[in-house]
Amino acid sequence: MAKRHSRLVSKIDINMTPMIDVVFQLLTFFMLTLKTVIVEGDFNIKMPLGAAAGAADEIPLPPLQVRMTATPEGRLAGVRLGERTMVGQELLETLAGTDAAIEAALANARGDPAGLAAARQTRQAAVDALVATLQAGILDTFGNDPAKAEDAELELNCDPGLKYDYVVSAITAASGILRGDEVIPLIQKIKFAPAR
Amino acid sequence: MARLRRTAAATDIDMTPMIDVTFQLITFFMFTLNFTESEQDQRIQLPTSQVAKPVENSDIEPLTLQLMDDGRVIYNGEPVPLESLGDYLENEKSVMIAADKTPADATVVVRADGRSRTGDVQQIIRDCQAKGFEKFVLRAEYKGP
Repeated sequence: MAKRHSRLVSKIDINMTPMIDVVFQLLTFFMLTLKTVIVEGDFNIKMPLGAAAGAADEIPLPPLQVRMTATPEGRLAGVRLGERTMVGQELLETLAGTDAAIEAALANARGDPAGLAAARQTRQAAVDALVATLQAGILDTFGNDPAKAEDAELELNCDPGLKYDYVVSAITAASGILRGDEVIPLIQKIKFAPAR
Repeated sequence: MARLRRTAAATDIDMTPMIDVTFQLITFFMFTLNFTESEQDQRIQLPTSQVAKPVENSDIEPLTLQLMDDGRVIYNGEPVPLESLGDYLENEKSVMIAADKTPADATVVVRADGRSRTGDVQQIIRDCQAKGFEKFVLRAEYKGP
């Protein structure tokens, strides 16, 4: 059997070239169409128009207010949770400083990859600190019980010029606590304050 | 030239391992190809978050609005000014009503650049509300812990 088979192959001698051509064409096509997909996530926001404020028999709790003010450049100038000022001046300055550094590094055509990476790292640390501070404040409001926060409502009142990055940080702080790999949900109803 | 062909015929390389590997590669790239019309756009730099919920796929096609950092909105792949968004939303609404659905059933996915103004994001939401959309989703880049 083996003998006959090998003899057959050596006799016919298939021309592989066209097949390899086609195979490489296919390979190139699939390689070039390869797209790396960034993992994305959602934050739900429910904002029906003319917000019918619940049924008449339930008295809705007033939403927790987060007020975020902005500098003329759109950087964060202050965060208030209800009446409390949440974020210290030092952290705000770090955020604004690294923001400016990142912008300058991106505008610089020649580029400074090391400086940019360092600025990004500092900024990430500052944003993490901002999220942690705000989250601690929110948790404090609910007596450090995440379960109580789930039915609460949060209203974001932001200056229109504020960069959206900061808003997402605030939503991150309000919507869940990260413990290890799992996320403990916090406030689920988040909305923007109506325009004044 | 003729000499080259002669040597090739004489050595008779075993193609089998190469073809094996090549087919493996093809299979890999075929499986990693995603046909889903990815809406990810190079012009948008999403803000990052660690707690964003995984994207849910609803049966109704969501309406995706992408806000660039200069305040223009990408609608059907074309950047349009924010002021004229209302007209495009009106189209969207009439298409939905023609398909026996209401805007309230659809989800509006807002993919806004992290550097864009919050006021613009709110303006998009207000414009959508004016046309009857109710469910909004703010999309962020998920950054694992």
